[in-house]
Amino acid sequence: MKKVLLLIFLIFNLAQPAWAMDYTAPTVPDSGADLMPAQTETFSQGLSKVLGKAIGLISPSLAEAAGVCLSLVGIVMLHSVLQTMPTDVKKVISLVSSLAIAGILLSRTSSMLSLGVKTIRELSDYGKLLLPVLTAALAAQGGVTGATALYAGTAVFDTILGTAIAKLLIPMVYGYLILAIAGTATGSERLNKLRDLVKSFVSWCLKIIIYIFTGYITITGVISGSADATAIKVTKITMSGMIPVVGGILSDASEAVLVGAGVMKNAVGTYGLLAVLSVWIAPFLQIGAQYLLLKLTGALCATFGAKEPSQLIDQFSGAMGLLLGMTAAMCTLLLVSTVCFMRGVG
Amino acid sequence: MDSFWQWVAGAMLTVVLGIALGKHSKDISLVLTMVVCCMILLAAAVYLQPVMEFVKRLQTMGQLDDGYGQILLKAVGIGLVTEFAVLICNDSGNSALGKSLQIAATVVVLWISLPLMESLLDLIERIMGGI
Repeated sequence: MKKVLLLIFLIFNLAQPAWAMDYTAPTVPDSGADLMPAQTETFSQGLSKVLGKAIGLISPSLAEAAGVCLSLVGIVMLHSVLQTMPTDVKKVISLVSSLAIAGILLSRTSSMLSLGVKTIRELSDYGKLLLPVLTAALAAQGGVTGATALYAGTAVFDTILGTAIAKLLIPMVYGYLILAIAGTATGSERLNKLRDLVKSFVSWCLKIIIYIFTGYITITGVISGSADATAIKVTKITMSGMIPVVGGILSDASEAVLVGAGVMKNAVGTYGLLAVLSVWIAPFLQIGAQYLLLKLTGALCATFGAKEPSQLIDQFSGAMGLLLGMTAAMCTLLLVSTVCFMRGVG
Repeated sequence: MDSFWQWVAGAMLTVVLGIALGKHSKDISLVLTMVVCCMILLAAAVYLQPVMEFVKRLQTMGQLDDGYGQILLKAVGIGLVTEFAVLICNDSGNSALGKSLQIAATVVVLWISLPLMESLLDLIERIMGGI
């Protein structure tokens, strides 16, 4: 009797609690919470809801930006009154109107740059929360090598891009703007060349980081994906061959577990994609609208024959273009890595 | 638009009269030119007023700081008057006077735009401090 009781005690003592792994995507940051759909059946439905809400949100700032562009047109009209005059006074007035344009646009561009930096920081922070969850989910599906390689690569590139944008590229955009103002005011060709050099440098930095990241993702996806698939296949064959009687059943059961983990990972991934888009889309549309409006204003002002002011407006729109590139690069990095995690093993 | 053709005709007539009078009395010819120039400019100012109102309306729509608009308006006004005065000086053979007037106008335009430059510098300083 004692032996039976001891046996029962041991059985209960050895039993370990077991539960399903819980993979929950991190909550959307406050800036994207308003845009995030509460419930969505498919990714495309969610995307259309996010876009619809984002367009509604940016409308007031779009109207404000259009107003600023109209006042720029007014300044250029005033400036163009003196364009046909033969004396040198018009050069000074051209300087004054360029400075007025710079004063109006610099404060707006500065707030847009701050918005861009905030968005990039939020995307980076959200990525740091989302990627470990996706890594764990992919590892549970059998893609241990792929998950590790993807996570390591994305984390490194996320840090590199985030730091490069905040510490190097954004200050360089400010430098570009100040060179543009100085170049227009003084008409110095050297300053204009330096300005173009700064713009090219920023643009090339972004391109290089994204090219290297894409290359890394492609190579690791091919190598680690096939390694994981082979490992899963070998494990299944070993399991069904080595374990007598129940080997086949266990192998089929493991397949069901893997499929379940895959479904969960894709759900987290879809939520993550929509969350990233919710954080990114409104600032991107806002900056994009500013960019297009400034381009349009520059073209319109050029028709008045005001060369310097319209060039200055174009250069400010160029800065907006660089900022668009930065936010888009960070978002692309997160979207591509999330999709790679969702692609899974094989 | 019709009045524009009248100005052109008036200017042409003044040139012919100026040449004819110039042979006998250069002073009267110069005074005639100045008077007609003033009349044309005053007439043009009537047409410039709606343009200025439109520019002000654009500035109001953009909720632009009125200081910027005022500075620019003053600068353009100074520029227009200086151009006119310099051309009259050159016509009367006093190009040195015209050149000094240009320099004076440049200095005045720079002086009135000082607040604009200061506000821009403050903005740049603030941005640089924030980086």
